[in-house]
Amino acid sequence: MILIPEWFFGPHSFVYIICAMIGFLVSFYSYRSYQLAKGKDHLYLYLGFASLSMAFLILGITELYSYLSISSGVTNMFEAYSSFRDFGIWIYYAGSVIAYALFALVYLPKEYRILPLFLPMWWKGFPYFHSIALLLLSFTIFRSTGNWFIKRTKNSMLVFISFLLIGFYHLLLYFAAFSELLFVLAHVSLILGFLSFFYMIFRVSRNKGRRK
Amino acid sequence: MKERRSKVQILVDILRVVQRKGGRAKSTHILYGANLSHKRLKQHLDQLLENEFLEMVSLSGRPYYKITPKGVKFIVEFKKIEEITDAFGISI
Repeated sequence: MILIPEWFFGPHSFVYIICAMIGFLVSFYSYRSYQLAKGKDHLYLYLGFASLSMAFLILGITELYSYLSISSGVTNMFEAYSSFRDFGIWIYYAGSVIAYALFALVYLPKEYRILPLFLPMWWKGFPYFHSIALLLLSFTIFRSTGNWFIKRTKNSMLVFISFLLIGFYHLLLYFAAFSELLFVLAHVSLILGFLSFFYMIFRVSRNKGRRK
Repeated sequence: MKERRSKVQILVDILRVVQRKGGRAKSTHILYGANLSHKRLKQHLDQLLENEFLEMVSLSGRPYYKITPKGVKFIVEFKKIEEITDAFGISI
């Protein structure tokens, strides 16, 4: 079971909602690239970000609802944990694993694209979900590191940092059963990861994303 | 070995050649600038005219291809998308 500091239960839902908003922005640009190129890679990237953003949005809303229900005394902690919140977490597990599998598909050679299907993606409970998420993300991190080494651009570095920090989020949550602080650090890592995506989009939108 | 250009990349290359030539260019300039065969150039130019990214103008009796504001906007948008996909390691 994950340990959550009492003061952070509530504010943490805003982290998910902010991440979802940034994720939708990236998925919008990915969709534009799919419209132009009509390539499968672009489609996977678009669907991956859309799925991840939707997962975080639903998780954020359900977590916020649970927090408000508890703080206003409508329900107690046990009820909040066992009903509506469970629904949000289940959607989040499914949405993010699908997203990470789609990200892996972007980087996998065509002949190996069937591989993510063999992963036990139905493992939804803690800590299995984080194991699968880390496994899928580690491949994406590896490939984005390679891309950064080849391209040597700030934007490719920002993408690499984003995936790395999202990976750290899952790694820290893996050990969040031992310390409340790790839960907070995991969420700091998550929001920094998405802010890195946002900064990349911001740079490109301001036409400062030249290859340097 | 250099990767094959996608169709959209070729269309943008044509628009960039016209833009570099001051906003209007003759078909021969585009042919060499975009590195295309005559047959393929004709197909792509027809598409760009159809989508109103280019328009035909006549100067001193000679036909020129002129880039439209829609064409300029398309180049800018393409550049943004290209930079984003490039950051992810995929090409357009």
